[in-house]
Amino acid sequence: MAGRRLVALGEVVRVATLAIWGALAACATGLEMAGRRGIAGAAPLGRVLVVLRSKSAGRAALVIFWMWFGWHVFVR
Amino acid sequence: VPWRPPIWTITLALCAAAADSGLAATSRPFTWRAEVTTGIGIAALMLIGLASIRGLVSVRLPSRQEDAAARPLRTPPGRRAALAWGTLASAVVIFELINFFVPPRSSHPTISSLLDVLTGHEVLRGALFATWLGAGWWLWGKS
Repeated sequence: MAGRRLVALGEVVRVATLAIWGALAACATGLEMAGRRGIAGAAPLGRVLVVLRSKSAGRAALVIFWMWFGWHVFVR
Repeated sequence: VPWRPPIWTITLALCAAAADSGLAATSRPFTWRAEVTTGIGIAALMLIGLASIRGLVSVRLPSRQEDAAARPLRTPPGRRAALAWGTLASAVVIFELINFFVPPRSSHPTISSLLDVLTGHEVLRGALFATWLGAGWWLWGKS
């Protein structure tokens, strides 16, 4: 009985986690669309990244993130 | 004046990237093959980046170089836009860390475990690897 409850709780937590990931993805999509349409001072992600890339520290942070992402996803 | 790579050099680089992506597509995580293919991509783009920083090479494609001079300067994004993207990025990092440290992974999927759906398929894994290489190339471009 307790085991079944734990499995059910785990499934609820999984669905809630996936829902939060979905909400974050929706926020990113909404922000990107608002940026492309120039709504409320928003800017597309690409333009923010270009500004970040133009500074040495920003570029270094992006390069480190890029390397970590590649190694983490393809090698672990 | 930075060296502008001729079209045959760019074609060769694209072929090398495609070959590396092809090898990465058929490799599995935690194997020496995955380490070598990813390591080659990182090493090659770091070398290109160092050459770009020293002004030895320009990473833009020839046609884009000519367009850049004629392109009007766009206004940079304001503080509000930076704050919005920064807040969202922070939320993603915090939620990723929570999921990473709270077991079990089946109930708390991280971004990489969600990406397993893509990386488990050879063609999608190769496409993701090529996109990752392209992002690495873009990082060394001039604004």
